[in-house]
Amino acid sequence: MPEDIDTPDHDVSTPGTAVTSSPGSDMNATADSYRNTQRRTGARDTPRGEGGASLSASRLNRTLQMGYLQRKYTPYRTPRTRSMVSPAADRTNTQEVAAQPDWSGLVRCSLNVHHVTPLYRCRLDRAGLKQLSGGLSLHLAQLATAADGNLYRVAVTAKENTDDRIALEITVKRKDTTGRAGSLYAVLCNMEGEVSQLEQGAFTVLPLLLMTGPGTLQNAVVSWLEQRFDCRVCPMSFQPSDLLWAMALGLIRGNNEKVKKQTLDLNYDVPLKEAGLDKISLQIPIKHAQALLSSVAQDTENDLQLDELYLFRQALENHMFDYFRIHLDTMKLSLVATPVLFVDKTGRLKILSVDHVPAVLRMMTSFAFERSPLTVSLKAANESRW
Amino acid sequence: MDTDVLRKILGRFKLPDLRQALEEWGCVAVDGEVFVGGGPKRGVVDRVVRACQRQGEEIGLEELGTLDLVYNKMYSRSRTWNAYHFTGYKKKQNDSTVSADVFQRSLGKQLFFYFRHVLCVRQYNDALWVWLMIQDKSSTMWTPSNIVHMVYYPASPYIFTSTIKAEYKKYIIQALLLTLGYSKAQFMDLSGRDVESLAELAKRKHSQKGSSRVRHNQEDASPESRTSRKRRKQDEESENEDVIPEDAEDRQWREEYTRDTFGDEPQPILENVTYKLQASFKHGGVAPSMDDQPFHMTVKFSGSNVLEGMKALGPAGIAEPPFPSYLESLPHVGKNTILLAERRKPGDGDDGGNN
Repeated sequence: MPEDIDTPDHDVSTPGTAVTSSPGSDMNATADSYRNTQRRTGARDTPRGEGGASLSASRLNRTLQMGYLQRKYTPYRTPRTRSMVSPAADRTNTQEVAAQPDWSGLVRCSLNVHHVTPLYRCRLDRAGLKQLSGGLSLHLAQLATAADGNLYRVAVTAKENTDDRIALEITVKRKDTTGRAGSLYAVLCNMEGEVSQLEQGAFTVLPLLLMTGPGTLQNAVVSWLEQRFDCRVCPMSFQPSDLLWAMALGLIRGNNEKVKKQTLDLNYDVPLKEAGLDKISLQIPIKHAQALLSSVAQDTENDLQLDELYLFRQALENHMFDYFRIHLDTMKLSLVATPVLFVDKTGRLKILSVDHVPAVLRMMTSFAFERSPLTVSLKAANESRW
Repeated sequence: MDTDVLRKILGRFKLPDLRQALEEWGCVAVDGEVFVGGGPKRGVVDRVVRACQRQGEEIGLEELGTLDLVYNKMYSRSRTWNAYHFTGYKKKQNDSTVSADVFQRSLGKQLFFYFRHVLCVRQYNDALWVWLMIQDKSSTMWTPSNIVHMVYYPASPYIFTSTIKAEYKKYIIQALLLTLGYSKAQFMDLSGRDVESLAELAKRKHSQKGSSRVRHNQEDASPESRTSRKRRKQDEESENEDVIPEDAEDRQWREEYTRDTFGDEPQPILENVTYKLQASFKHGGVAPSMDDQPFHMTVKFSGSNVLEGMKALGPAGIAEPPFPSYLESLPHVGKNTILLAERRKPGDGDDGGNN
């Protein structure tokens, strides 16, 4: 990948290059954001390791001089900055905490993450939800064989968040067993973006779908969603840069004493599976990783830059090369595990503490937004209308 | 006779292996008709169990233990083995390690002081495979959580065991020490799934490095085999003459380095190699404020055959030769958990000392 240092006008928004252009000069917000997402999704499609183009300190200094790192992006453009702290919902204000919806169904189970295009004609009032429950149970009954026709009990409910966001919650329980074994729990939500954007005419924008449960049930629910709402549900896979963001979130909020092993685990895929070596896993105690992150980042809470995460990664690569002579940048990061959350590249997510669920959901929603150009262009079209 | 337990153990075997297993077990005279019936494994197992019942000879815990031992020998790769090293040999009884029966009797005698148990020992090739079940409450119950498997190569100071419960560990080790005539047992930081590879690695640890290259199969004794391998490689590469490799020199250098360091023959099989690194943080200028702070990192290589994979790191371009000494000597050091810590003395350089 050519490093476009000498042409600072292009926003080559692929990881590994230092140069980013300032968006303030763009007149046409729609075109710019669409172009950005195009290029970013294009870059993501190439299944290459992020090798070779590591950020050197000197190049970073040059961009610092140009002041590029001080920009802020709004969430609907490709974010090179993310805030790790939510604007409202995470304040330790007891009033607000009491009004939080109960996310405990999402904690400590293995979730599959999908991103969903906008749903057509989704009525979230009581009658609408009853209709949805009936529709889903009918769909499941059709799919099941004659023997176990009436096995499942379906409930579709809506969860309200503090700032009037609504999330759709689907529970499919087996009638014969108690507890969660063999039952499915899914949440469709939208934790980022402004509330007014939730309804775009006849469309409801709930781009994030998290499901846990048996595979056949998951497939059945997905096919019902696609059928009922005329949308597309695609499993989400995470690129190494997304995993880096998840790692940052896990490090910054690393207070989960219930977990025994307080380490940051990073797994790298080694392309030598036939030769015998499958993966290399790095385990770093949480305190040391947090110290490293705060030493490379200026403001970890509010404005964490992607370039600062690259510095973090660079430090680890240098350390590894110095002691083992192994180029870590030739391999792809495939799994990140912190005491708070666990993410891997195939789209499996596990949240280990219920306090951090809103923040994780917010990050996952922003990933989902970046992946569906349809949603983004809908929003951009809305923006340009003002 | 506990038919449920018998059925469970027999059911664990794969159907093609069941016949051989029964022959090795030798407690039941099974004719081919049992297997001719075909059908699912459960049917065959039922038939075997009925044959055992008809036989008249009681199948007690010891026979079940022997069957479990046969299973373990056949499927030894499904278990994680840990290696222990004995030191301090006192020339007491040389003959306790000669045959399986003698070993069983003397070990049984020693263990009897500590707990009620059932012990079976069998010899396969040149190793003694031991099955031990400790009974804490009643003497007729089958307690699978108290079963320990061991493999001992006679006249060598190593033993490979499956995981032992902490409460019984020191008693079992003590009994082994007394039987074999050693005074101290130490866990080598070596564990894996393939017993023969573990034995090979343990053997390598305590032999001289230079003269043993041939013995360790790192260099071929016969001069012909190397040329034939080279010829084979050249045949592969000369298929397409339009392809001119630009980095031929680099590739050759990497191959030569790998061959010199690791040798040609296949490496013993290890599943995990862990390096615990507690040395100063070499961030390369990226994070200058971390210079004085400690930074620990554990690096774990895992796969189906890690040593072969590490051998392939150089030629694949992922790692850059020359490797540091703790990577190069990995096949000889006889461990798979290695601690690299810096000696925190003032005036000492940044060399990671092997602990």
